[in-house]
Amino acid sequence: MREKHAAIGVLAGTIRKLIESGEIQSDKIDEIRLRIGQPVWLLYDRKGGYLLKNGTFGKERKKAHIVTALELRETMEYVSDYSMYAYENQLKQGYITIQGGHRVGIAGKVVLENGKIKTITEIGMLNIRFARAYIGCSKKVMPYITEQNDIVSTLIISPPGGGKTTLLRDLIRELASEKGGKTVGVVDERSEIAACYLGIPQNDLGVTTDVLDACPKAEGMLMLLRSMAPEVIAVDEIGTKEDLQAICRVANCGCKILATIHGSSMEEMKEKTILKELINKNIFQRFLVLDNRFHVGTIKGIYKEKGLVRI
Amino acid sequence: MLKIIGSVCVLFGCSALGFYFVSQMKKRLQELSFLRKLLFFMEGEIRHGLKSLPEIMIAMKQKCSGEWALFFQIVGRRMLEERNEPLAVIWKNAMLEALQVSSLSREQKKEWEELGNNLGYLDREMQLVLLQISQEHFGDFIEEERERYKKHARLYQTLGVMSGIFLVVILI
Repeated sequence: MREKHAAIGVLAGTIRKLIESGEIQSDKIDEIRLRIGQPVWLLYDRKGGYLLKNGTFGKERKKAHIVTALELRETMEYVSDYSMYAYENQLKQGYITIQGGHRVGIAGKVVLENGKIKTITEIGMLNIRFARAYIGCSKKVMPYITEQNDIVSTLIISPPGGGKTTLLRDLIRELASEKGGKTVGVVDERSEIAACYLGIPQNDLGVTTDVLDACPKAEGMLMLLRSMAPEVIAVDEIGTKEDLQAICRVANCGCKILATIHGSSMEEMKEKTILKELINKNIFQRFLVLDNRFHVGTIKGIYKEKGLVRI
Repeated sequence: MLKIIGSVCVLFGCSALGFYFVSQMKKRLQELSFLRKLLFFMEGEIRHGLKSLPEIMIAMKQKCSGEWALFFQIVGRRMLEERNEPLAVIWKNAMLEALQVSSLSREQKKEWEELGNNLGYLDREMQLVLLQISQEHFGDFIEEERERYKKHARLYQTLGVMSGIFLVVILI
């Protein structure tokens, strides 16, 4: 598990001191939400509640610490390294990745220019999601996605918060480890897989991984193919027509693909017109379906043969 | 003999005071021109390099000496390593710590402090506009100081010498 200080460190001094002074253990925090005029909300030890004025976690709203506009501004200063202007592209996407791979979601007034999002101003809400790397979580599924000691193209299907990115990250790390020995190319459009900070991946992605950070997936996959000659290309949250076209081109070049997509079942995937073609072309030889109803990252099913056969 | 030595001392002291005021005016003018150049540099780094403020502060430190090098060092280090205070507070405290010996006037220091209140927490376009406004203000300060220098430099020097002579005559 990664240390959490980088995420706590971006909080306004008053809130940071409260967390550090009380009994709250930073490694049990999953999320911190700040909203001006509202209490500091924590997802702590898988339970939602407030940060109380005495630095403890609780459900009593009256005793909770209320976020001020100044505290939110101070937090944004730390999140952006005192340089909001340098994060305009990330702001357009609604989040900033900070040191340690933690993600800060931002909400406020959206400014449009020619119908497209230009930036977010009057920021009033922040959601700090603590990144975790569960080293070794892919070991159980690895035998199911390999054939004759070689990885096969695999699509991870999961609802939001189901652990698909965590699993993908660990698969990459395993494949690009000294033992795995594969050259892996990662197109990290949302900086979620590698969580690059100043060009350095903050998450362990093995020794033979090349990362294209903040690059659109479709262009990135083809760029990697031409420039880094990867054996495996990994992308997170595919979904657009362009993504699928690029995947077909990559697959035709003999490169294996690891990808994730939002969904809850194999049947749901088959109903999506855009994915039907991909499934019928047999681009992916395995489909891993995850579930988060009981526990994040639970394997609901593994399928092969165009998703018709359950392993 | 003592009277002569005393007179020379008074004359020298008063003249030196006049020359000191002039040198301060000159230093202030140089300091303002230098700060304006730094504002141009900062604008370039943001416009073309999209560099973060801590990086820019460290780069600016390399371009300065004396109290200004110390100022940018304090600001850059606190932003990079400590991250305990908002920029406006870091900026103000660094001014108090490093710029006591600066020859800028109170109004000019206020303008510099105001810049620290707004840096960083704006989008790129607004940031550049802010820097351009600051450049204009510092340009105005330079013009004012230049005018003042033209008008008063010789006056201060002459006044220094003349007041020395006046004192000597009175005392003798």
